[in-house]
Amino acid sequence: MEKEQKQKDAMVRVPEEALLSLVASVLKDKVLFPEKIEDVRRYLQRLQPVGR
Amino acid sequence: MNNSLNKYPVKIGDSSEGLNFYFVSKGKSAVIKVVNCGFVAKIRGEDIYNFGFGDFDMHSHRIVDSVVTENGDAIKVFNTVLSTVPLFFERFPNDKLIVKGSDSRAGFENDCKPTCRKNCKLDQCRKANQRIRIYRNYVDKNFEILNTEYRFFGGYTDFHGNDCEEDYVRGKDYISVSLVKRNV
Repeated sequence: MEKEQKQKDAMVRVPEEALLSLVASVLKDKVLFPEKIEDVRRYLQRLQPVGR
Repeated sequence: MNNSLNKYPVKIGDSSEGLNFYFVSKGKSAVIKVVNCGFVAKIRGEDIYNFGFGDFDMHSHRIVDSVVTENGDAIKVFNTVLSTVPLFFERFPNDKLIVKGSDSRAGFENDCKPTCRKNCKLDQCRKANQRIRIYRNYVDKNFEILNTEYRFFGGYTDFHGNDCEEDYVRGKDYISVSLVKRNV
């Protein structure tokens, strides 16, 4: 039982490229900063160009 | 944007929401960093993307941009983040990129106050706008070179409380910086 748990907790080494590909697949097509994007959207809508 | 050799290799990831860049910061520990150029809106004919950056949290699968990682490699991380800007414009040469720090949002001062240890006077939060200051300092220092390739704009709030944007003036206290690629 204990051995089984240890096996479950065992660390695996993942190459950096594969790890980043995995993260990229998890985050693909997601809005990563929804609150920030909304804050910037509101800001941009208020923003007035000056002297251009 | 930044040709320093002291930077991490990045992986580019397409997204329907814009463009992401991934790299591993190898300081005291290994931290997965994500730079996100996320589509915000089309305004006055320009597609505008927000330039955001944070740590990938393995447990929640979310990006955390409100913490200071203190991984001992801040310059290398900053160089890497900046190195993604030309890559963004290779993909979106006619679009605009805006940077506005998470500590530049409306209401930051009020949120900061209850937990802050700095004894700031009223309306003088020293933690506000710290992040945009880092980008501004970089632009100020390298303006002559950068200005040949990019046109910069600075955002500020005027005396009447209106948010305005003008052609970037070195040394001015902006709350946002945006840029477009010049047609050179």
